[in-house]
Amino acid sequence: MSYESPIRDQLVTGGKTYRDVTRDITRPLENPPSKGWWIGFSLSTLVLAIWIAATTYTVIVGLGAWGLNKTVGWAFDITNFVFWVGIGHAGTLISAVLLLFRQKWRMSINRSAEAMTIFAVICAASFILSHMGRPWVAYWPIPLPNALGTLWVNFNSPLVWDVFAISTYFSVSLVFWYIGLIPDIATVRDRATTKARKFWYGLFAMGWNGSTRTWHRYEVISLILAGISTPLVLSVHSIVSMDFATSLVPGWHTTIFPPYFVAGAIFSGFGMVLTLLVIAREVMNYKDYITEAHLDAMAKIVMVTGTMVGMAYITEFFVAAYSGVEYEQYAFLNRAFGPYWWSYWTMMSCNLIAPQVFWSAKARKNPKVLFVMSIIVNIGMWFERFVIIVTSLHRDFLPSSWAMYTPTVTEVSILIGSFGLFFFLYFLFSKFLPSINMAEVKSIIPTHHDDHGHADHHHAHATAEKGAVHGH
Amino acid sequence: MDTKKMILGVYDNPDKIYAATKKLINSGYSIEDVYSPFAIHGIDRLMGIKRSRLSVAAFLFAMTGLSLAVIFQVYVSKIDWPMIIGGKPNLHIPTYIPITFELSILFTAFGMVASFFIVNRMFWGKNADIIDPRVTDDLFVVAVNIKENKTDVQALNQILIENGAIEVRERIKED
Amino acid sequence: MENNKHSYWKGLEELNQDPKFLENKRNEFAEGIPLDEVFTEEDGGMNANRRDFLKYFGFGISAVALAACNKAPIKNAIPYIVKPENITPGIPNYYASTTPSGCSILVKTREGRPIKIEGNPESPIFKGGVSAADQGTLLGLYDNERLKAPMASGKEASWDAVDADIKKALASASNIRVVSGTLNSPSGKRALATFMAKYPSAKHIQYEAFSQGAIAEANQIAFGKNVIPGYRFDKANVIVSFGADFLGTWISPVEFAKQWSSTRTAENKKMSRHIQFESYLSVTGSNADVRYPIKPSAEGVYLISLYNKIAALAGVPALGSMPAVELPLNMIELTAKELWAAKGASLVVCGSNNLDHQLLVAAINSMLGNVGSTYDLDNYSNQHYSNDAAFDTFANELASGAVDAVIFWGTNPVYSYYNSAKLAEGIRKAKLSVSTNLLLDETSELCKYNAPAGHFLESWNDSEPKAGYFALTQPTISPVFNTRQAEESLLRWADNTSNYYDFIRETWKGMAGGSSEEAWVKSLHDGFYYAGPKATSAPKFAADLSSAVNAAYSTYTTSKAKKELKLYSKVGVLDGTHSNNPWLQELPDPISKVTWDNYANVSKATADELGLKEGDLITISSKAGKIESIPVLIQPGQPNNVIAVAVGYGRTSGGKVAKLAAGKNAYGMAALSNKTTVYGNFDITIEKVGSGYELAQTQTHHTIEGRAIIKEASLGEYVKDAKAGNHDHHATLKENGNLLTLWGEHDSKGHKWTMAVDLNKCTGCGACVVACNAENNVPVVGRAEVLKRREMHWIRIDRYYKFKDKEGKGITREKGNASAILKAEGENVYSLDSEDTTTNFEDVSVVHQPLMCQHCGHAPCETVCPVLATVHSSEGLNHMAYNRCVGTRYCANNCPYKVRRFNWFKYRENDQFDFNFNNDLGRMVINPDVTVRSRGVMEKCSFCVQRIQAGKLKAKLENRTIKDGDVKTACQQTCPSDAIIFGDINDANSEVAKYFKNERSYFLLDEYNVQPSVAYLTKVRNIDEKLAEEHHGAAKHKAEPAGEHKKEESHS
Repeated sequence: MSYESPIRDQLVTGGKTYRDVTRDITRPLENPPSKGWWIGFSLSTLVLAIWIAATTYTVIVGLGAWGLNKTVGWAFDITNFVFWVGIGHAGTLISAVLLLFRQKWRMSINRSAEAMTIFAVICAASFILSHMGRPWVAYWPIPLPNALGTLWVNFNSPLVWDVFAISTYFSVSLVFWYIGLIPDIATVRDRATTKARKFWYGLFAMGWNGSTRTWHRYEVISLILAGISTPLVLSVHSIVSMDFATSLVPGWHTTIFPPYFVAGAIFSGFGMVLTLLVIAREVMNYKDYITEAHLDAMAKIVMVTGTMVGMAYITEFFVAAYSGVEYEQYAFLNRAFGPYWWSYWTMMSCNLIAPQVFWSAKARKNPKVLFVMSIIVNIGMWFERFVIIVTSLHRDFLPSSWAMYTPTVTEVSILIGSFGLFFFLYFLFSKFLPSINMAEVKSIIPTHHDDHGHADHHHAHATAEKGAVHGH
Repeated sequence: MDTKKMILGVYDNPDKIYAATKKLINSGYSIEDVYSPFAIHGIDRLMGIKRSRLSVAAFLFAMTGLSLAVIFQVYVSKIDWPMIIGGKPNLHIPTYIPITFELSILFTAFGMVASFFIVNRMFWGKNADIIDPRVTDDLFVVAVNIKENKTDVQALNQILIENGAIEVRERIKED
Repeated sequence: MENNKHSYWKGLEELNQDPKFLENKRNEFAEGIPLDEVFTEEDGGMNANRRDFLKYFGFGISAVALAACNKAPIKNAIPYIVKPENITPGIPNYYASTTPSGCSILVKTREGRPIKIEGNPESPIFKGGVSAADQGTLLGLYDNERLKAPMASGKEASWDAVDADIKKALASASNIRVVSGTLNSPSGKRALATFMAKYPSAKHIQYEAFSQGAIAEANQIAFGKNVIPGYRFDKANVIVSFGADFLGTWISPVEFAKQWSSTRTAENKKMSRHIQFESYLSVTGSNADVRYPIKPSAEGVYLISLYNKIAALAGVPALGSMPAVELPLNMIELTAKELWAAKGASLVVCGSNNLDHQLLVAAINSMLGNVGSTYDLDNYSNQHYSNDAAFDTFANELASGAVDAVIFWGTNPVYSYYNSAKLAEGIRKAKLSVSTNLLLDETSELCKYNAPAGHFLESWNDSEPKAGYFALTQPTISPVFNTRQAEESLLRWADNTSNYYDFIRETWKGMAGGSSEEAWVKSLHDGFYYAGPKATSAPKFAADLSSAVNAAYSTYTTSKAKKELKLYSKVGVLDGTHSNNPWLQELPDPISKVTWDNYANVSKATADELGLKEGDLITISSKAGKIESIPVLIQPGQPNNVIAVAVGYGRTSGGKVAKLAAGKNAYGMAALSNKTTVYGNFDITIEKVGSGYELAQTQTHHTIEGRAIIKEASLGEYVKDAKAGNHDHHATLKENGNLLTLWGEHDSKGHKWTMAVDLNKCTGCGACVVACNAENNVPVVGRAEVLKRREMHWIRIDRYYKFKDKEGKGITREKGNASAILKAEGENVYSLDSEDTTTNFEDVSVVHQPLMCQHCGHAPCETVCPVLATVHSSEGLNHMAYNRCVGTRYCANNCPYKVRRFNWFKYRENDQFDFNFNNDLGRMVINPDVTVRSRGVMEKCSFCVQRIQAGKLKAKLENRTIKDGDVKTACQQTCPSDAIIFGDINDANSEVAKYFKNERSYFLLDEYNVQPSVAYLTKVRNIDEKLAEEHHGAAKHKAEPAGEHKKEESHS
């Protein structure tokens, strides 16, 4: 039996029956897409076009198309990469960690969160490629046996660790997501009225028949996947943070980076989840599945993680001051008061100060506030990466090499365009796959008792009309 | 080819089917399987399904990944392609940790999923033998094996209906 | 040929438009490769077909590698049918030669292509040094904009036609002028004589764009010797220079830098004392021990006061009655004392082209007894001669139409003459106007006839840059275009048909250097003939200086309150001769670090007074003329109320690079006064006409921010304690000399290549930068890219300023919140762009620090490269495998010295970068030993690994172990002040090993323990201030008196 914690109100409201759940959630799949969907989809396609154009241009003329220089070798490219990887963390985190902790409220949001993970990692990967001077040899950091005989990669390089971490993370998230989808795909298959749908969903349902034996193994494997995904999530952003932590650039060379980056990742991840779900709630009216309780819970996480990163920012200053290393000290002072002070204070106000509104329960339950906050959080987290990368590089050891960095139109287009890529994929997902995990949701709605008997009988007849075989 | 006859009890409620199954088992019927739109906790234990050994497999896969990673990195950086990199020693264990960890996870995940599909005999495009299209929607079905002129079908139906089956029907399954 | 896309001919056949050849060009193996015959014939004898095959193959090899250059006169070009025995593909040949500026060089050629100009170590004068500009001249050879054939009124013509016309015109001309630059070539003079003999009405005028004429003029008056003396800075213990940039651009900078640096060896515990009075911050001034910024108008008065102070000490009468002047005369007093104390071994020089001033300098030197020792009138210099007055007269005659035929012999006065409009008008009037210039520049485009001379690397020539020092220029390649050297043209027009090689040989027959064949061959091999210095004499100073006094005084008083203009020339483009040279345009100015541009140097105070900010555009006008909207650069060390502008920019023609380069022509502000051209103006008005102009600087932050990047000490401190200013703050963290590390070191058996840079000797002249560009095929990226901070130079010279506040305490931090917090108690900060009343911007001390890849033992770049594109060699080199690089730029980010350069674009065959790498001919300069990098890969200094390998191979061939000095990096080879030392640290007696053991040596960012292979040596200044305590680096760090070694918790 499923238990709900008595102190929390029902996770799914509106007295939904199993059937309602199925109907509600498969509606977008089985009916022509709504106006809202079309608008969103075409919009994101448009933005995606910008991304394609800008990236292609860069590959053709070379990285000179960007604003980088001899001193600032990374800027928008890696900022965007870390930003997207960060966003990619909430998905797995929600599914895995909350599953381990048996947090049932996760059930209505984990599907879209996982989807988000996968799309975000795709965006991130696109920056790994496009930031390379010679993207056509982008596969070289993978240790492949090759025609040149012995020629391997450098296992000391955090970039190689990245290659392994990101690809592992992507593929594991993908299978985790797919396993979770199988029962729901089966549902769609069994409801399918058109041949095409029957075929395609049948193909991916892998002959799921909902037998208890399968369910039993399903439970076990979900648990194990969750178990391994949790350390994976933590490891991925830790490794990303090592790109900086293992270098000797003042402002990068910091041991607190791994936990600080993970916190940041969760923070931004939940920010993005909020953005998506608040929209989904409206556009697909999932209000009964993504209730205020969900929003409230996520808001709390945002506030906590936000405060954590805020603390990290302050700790960095203390460490720099305490170290007595003038280069470190200058790097941090330069962040707050140097030419890029505005980016630093944007970061501070978005990530540390703004989330404090969530001390108020009202704010936590108000979708409008949440939506605005989720955007602020994402802006703040983007700037965090910008601050770390650019302000540290542009003034390091030798003043003779100090330089300023200004992005070009191309770079800005690629950043904006990457959102196009992300939402393009997300809209496709919401059209063709159930964006809420039906099976799990069903397991947490209260079971009907005899007072619903009538409904059940109607129900039976309804199916009878559908031509199901009757016994007795 | 020989056929297998089953009586299906269709329920609309996990509690009811749980009760029914319990009853049937106590009265010594052999349950083919119980089909449901979601996992009904406890019913697997009821049916005496032993805890899956997938977790053991997981551990083995992890170990494989780990050892392969270590062997490969040591081979490359110490034996096959020793280079002077930033003055660090060729056998530089700490830097192997991240990749070793990632590979262990990777192997586990894929190994697990693979074995999951194998034990369930699942594969793409398998055309499912569906006991009732509604078990993936909102109904719960218990399938009881019956032997010709051995099982008392009446009594069986009785139990099923008493426990609130909304329909009971017979199914011939060919293997 | 004219409308042929090929910019040069690939063989006689093409030149003569031989139809057969053109046919073959379309189809390389016209007769097919006759392999069957090659393989079927029994007798191995040659066969016509195969010879043809070989011939066409020879054409195919390389465009201008047709002719091997050798010591025989090049009459015509022959393909390699038979390989010339002195050319081995892959092995460079070196030929001794001489640049037009008279510097002895070695020309490195590969397969017949000159690819680099290096100093000639055997030259007793230049000792292996060569300036940035002279190295740059190499690009001129491969300039596809050069005139490819003679031209008659704008159309290409044949030599015969042109010669006929010119001769006809000359014959009918009644008043002929030949205008040349400095003419110090014996054969050249003979050729000219031959010409003048034929045309008696001809007069010869020597004209230099940036004239030094006054010096010779003054010596004529003072000592009856119309020469520039041979200055001997190496013999001078006290050097006083009035605006003479002798380490950068003045007379013979390479020679002087060699001499000067020999007196700057701190280890001798004594150094020359160098005092500079100047009106802009010059390379020389930036290296002086003491530097006084002065107004040009005050120079005369200073000289007179100096004269009088010394006179007082010498007990000779002072000059006239010097009216009262308010000047900080105590500094003159001190200078006088020092000079007097070192009399006979001191030297006063003056850069101004004012006759009076040069007379005064002559007088002072003679009073100090320097004439004959450091001021040598017997071993004089011929490097510069310019008769400004004569040229002025010529210009007037030409304008009036009195001159009807003029020949411009390799000079471009229409650009550089202050009244170029009048000159241009005159040239148009003249019946005959001929130019032998290589390019279609401002002058030659006005001339009716162009008789283009060849580049000096494809011509024969001789010269006498210094008295008795006869230098030879020999061709290292056959003429690329249909050109003829000017001397030969003169001979032709004088109906002398002799080949110029024979003509020179003829001249030399009468000289010791060529009397016998052996002597000739030796001179040719050495590149010069020098019997050694003549005995010196000390003629008495016999001139009346009284007139000078009043002139100087009135100039001083009338312009005291006025703003003044000072013109100067830069080490790169000099007087404009090199404005079409991409290397030199992109060479950062040693002081301002500006590329591709000139600008108005304005002092902070003056800028504040006039309400000017950096990047504002101003128009400078005077009676003489105007400089329209030139950008402002706020230049520390610039005297107040003086604006300095470099000449050589603002070209209107003479090559695409010259035109592309930004900048304004400042020559219009010069004027003739008292027989010589004076480059400046004592009464100008400044008007702001715009703002927001960005200068392409390679360095935009000017101080060390109180970091321990530069270490310096005063000579006194150094003598007391050799480690002064260089105390080890990490002693406690060290284990036998190295900072503690986590892991054991790789053993470094065999060689370990290291470099030492003596900050005390580096003058910042930039010769090393150009040498590196040439050696390592470093691309030119252009102004726009430099603005984006993307210059590609593998070696850069960081220039740091240190200011003083009112109490004379050092200021090294730029105003800003960060430094406000970090600065020590009572430490002041400076600000160039905002209100700053504490800093004295006129008084600045400068350090030049060359920075190349430090080849760190614990290289941070290697650790982070994902694909092992950069790894360490067993010889301590940090290698870069371009082909493996994927371009993540992680290495560059992680390089604390920021010496790695990324190929943001494809810099060759790309019209966005239309420089020497964008055409076939231009690419001939590429060094085949060094990969040309592709787009998207990282590159950096390799310690000239190709030269290291060459050195090893040579040793191997000679069957010996490599010895110290076998390998010289390009930057080291060329350095005019011997500031760079390279070698094997594992060879205990190598020079570099000694430098590493030197107490002055320190490593940059030592505390990060990246273990660099480049050591820097403390800068020692010959002053008695406290320096050692400055620049200790760590924030709020209090230095303890020299001598003590205490543990420092700072930067550990």
